[in-house]
Amino acid sequence: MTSSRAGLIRTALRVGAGVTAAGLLSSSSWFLPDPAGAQNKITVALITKTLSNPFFVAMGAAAKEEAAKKNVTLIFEAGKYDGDNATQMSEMDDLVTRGVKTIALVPNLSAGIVPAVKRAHAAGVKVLAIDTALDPADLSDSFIATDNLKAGILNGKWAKDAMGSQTAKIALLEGTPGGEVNSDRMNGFLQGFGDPGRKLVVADEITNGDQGKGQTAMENVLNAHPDVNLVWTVNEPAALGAATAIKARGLSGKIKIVSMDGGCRGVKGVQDGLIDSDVMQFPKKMAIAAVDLAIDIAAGKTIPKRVDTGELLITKTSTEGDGTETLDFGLANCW
Amino acid sequence: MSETASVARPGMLSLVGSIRGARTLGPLAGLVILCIAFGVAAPVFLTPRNLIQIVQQVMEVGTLAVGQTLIILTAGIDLSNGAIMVLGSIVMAKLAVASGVPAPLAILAGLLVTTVLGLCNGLIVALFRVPPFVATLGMLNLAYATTLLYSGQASVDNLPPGLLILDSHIPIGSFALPIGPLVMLAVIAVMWYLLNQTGWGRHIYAFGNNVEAARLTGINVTRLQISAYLSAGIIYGIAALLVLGRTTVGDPNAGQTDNLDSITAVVIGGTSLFGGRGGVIGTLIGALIVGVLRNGLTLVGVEALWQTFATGIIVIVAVAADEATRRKRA
Repeated sequence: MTSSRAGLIRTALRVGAGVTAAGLLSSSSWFLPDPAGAQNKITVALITKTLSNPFFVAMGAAAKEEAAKKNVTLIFEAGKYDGDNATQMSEMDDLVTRGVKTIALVPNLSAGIVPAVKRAHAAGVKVLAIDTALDPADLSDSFIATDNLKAGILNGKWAKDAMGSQTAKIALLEGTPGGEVNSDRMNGFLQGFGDPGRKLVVADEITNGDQGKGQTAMENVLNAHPDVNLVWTVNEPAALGAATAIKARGLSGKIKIVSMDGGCRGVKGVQDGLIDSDVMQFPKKMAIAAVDLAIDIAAGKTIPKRVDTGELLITKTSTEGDGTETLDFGLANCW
Repeated sequence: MSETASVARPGMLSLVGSIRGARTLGPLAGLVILCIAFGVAAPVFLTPRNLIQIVQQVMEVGTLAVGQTLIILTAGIDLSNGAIMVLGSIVMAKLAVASGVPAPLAILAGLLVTTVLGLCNGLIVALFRVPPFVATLGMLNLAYATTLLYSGQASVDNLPPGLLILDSHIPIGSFALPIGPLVMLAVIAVMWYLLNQTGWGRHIYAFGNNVEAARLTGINVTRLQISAYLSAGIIYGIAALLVLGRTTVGDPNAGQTDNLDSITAVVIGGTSLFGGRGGVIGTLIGALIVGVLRNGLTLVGVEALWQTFATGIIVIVAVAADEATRRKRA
C-alpha cells in the first residue's frame, strides 16, 4: 500500500517535471512577437561563443536594437563555454530546421563547425562568420570582422615610436597559441614594430586571455627578466593582469603595455595609465552589419565576402587621425 | 510488489521497473508531454528529420550517461567522463593524422586509453578508498591536462575516413539513417541486458543498495566496483568515436560540461544518486528530455539562457521526486 502510494506521488512529481517544462514552453510565447506577423518577418539568428563575455553581450544588444529598428526577428543563441563547439552545432541545426534564412556565427572552433555549416548551406541558409573566420575561410557567405593583422601593426608602429632610442626588451603575453586572432594580433605587432622585432622578444607566455593568468605570467616574466620594458598583450584582461604585476613590483611607468579590444575596462585602463596603447574593435558594428546583410539576403541582393568593421588606436594623448582616435572617443564608444 | 523485495531480488525488479515501473513512467510521461507541447507550438518539431536530429544531438552525452548510470548505480559518481572521452578522441585523431597509424589501430589505441583510465578510476576508488567524487575530480584534471599536453592545445582536422565511420548513413529508400544514434541505442541495449539479465548486473544493484549486505552474500565487492568503472571506460571510448564522427575534428576543448550533462540525464531519468535504483532506459529518456527541451525551445525562438533555466528546474523536480520516494519508503 505504502509503496504504491509512494509510486503514485513519485509518478505525479515526475509528470510534474514535464508539465513545468510545458508551462515554460507556453509562457515562451511571451518572448515571441505575434505569430501572424512573424510569418512574413525576416528572421536572423546570431550565435556567439558564449553569453558571458562583454564583447558578445554588446554584440547581442546591438543586434537586438538593429533588428527592432528594421522590424526583423532576432534569435540570439550561444555556446555554453568558450570553445563549446557541440552546442553551437546543435543550435545551427535547430535554426536551419526552424527555417531561418541567415545565421550569423562567431565560431568556437573554426574547423569543427564546418559539418553544420555545410548542412545549413545544403538547406539554402546563408552563414555569416563574425569576428572569427571559418576554416576554410571562404566557406562563409560573408566574413564580418576586425582586421586583426592591421590592428597589430597599428600597435607595433606606435610601440616603435614610443620606445624611441631605447632598446626594447619585449614580453609577449599570448592568448591561446595557434588561434588565428592571437597569431594575427601578435604577428601584426612584430611586423609593425619592424626589424629586429622578433629578436627583441625575451619572454613568451600563455594567458588564455585571462586576467589572473596574465598577472601570474607577468610576475614570472619579471622574475626572470627584470629589464623588460615593452609588453604586448593579446587582450585587455591579460593587459590589466600584467599591469597589476608591474605595479606590485613598483615598476609602473617604466614598462609600456600595448593591448587591444576596446572594452570599457580597457579604455578606462588607458585613462588611468595602466595600458599605454589600446586598439579598439567594434562588436556593435559587426552585429549591425550582420542584421543588415540578412535583410539584403532576403531581398535577393549579393552581399560582400568581407566586411571590415575597422580598428582604431587609442592612447592617453592620441588625436583623431589615420587609424587613431582620441581617448574621449574611446570612452564614448567602448563596450 | 513491496519495495523490500527489491533488495532481495534487484534484478527482477529492475527488469520490470525499467520498462513499466513508475521510476521510468514519470520521465516517459514528461517526455511525451514535452513532445506534444512542442509539436503544437512548432509543427516542424515532429518531422522525422528533426526527431533524428535530436537523437544525434544527444548521442554524445547519452552514451557517456550510460557509463555514468552504471557508476551511479554503485552509489558512485564520475566527474571525469567527458575529459576521458576527449582524451580518447584526441589519441585516435592524433595517432591517425600526425603519426600515420591506420584508422582501426588508432581507434583501438583510443579505446585502450579510455578503458585504462576507467580502470584507474576503479582502482583508486575500490583499493585506495578514495571517494568517487574526489577520485574522478582528480582524473578530470589529469585527463584534461594530458589532452592539452598531447594535442599542443591545437585541434586535429583532416581526419581519415576510418575515424569518421560513425558519421556514415544507412540508406532506406530516399532516407539516410545515421549510424551514430544506432550505436548509442546498441550501447544502451547491451548495458540493459547486462544489468538486468546477468548475475553481474544483479550484483551491481545489490552493491548500490547495501555494500555490506552484498559483501556478506559472498560478492567480491572490490572486483565488482572496479569492473563498473572499467566498463564505463570502454563506453567512453565509444563516445569518443561518436564525437569524432559528429564534428569531423579532434577538439581538445570539447566536452567540458559533459560530466554534469551526463549526470543531469541520469538524474532526470530516475536513477537515484544514492545507488541501487534506476537503469539505462530511464537515462535514455533523461537524455532525450534535455535534448527535446533544447531543440524545442530553439525552434520556438527562446534564448539559450532560458533553455538552461528550464533544464535546471527539471533536474530539481526530478531529484525532489526521488527524495520524496525515499522518505515515503523509510
